[in-house]
Amino acid sequence: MIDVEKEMQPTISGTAQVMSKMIDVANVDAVFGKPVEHGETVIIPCGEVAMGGGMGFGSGPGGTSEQGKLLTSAGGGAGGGVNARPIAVIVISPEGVQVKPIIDTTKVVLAAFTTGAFMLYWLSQVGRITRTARGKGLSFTRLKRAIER
Amino acid sequence: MQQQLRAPGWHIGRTRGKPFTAFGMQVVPIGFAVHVSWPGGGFTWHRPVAVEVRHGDDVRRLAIHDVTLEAIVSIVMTGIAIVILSTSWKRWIHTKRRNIS
Repeated sequence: MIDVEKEMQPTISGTAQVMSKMIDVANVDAVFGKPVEHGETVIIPCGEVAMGGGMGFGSGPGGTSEQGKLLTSAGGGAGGGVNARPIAVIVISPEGVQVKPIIDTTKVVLAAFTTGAFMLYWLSQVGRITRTARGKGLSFTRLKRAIER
Repeated sequence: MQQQLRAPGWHIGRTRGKPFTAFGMQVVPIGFAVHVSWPGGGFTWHRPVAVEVRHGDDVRRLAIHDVTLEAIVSIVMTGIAIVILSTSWKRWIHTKRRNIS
């Protein structure tokens, strides 16, 4: 098992380095883009960056060979994700500096639809419960009374 | 910046980018970073917070708002408030009717 881990060590350290470098990419340069000159204005895009990743490695007994030797098996996995979205642009002109926000309409509309659907569902449930309690709908009390008759 | 992010463990704090000079104004981007690292992995969240504008002796700080997040939070909070208020109101009406009858 130890031999397998030793053999796999370069791969593990290489993957860990790649993972570490990937996470380190989310520095200030990734959040604030390169200034773009356009006529008499300079535009600096800025956005939010989120990155995460992880890796794992394990080894264990892998049965016996035809010669009766004990075999070991090893395996590993790595995964990660990146999320980046624009937040605003900084406009520098001879008149001054302005921060112009960027709104993601799709996300806002989706949030509005989801909230609206949740509200409708919740309010319909509340209305149903209230009607049932008033005796206009189905209730266990009415069902019990019907059985007793 | 790079050295701060590469430090093992965790780091939460403000980050400052390279100053950029245009039209006699110096613009310094300021961000906020959360960095957590553990053996074999890590997580980083970094967002812009403000820009510092230096024009001579005058130093101004312009905040960068995440309008999308603010809009989503407003919509969700409004929805929750409407649900709570309408549920309470219906319950109150129901209790009142039951007491009368």
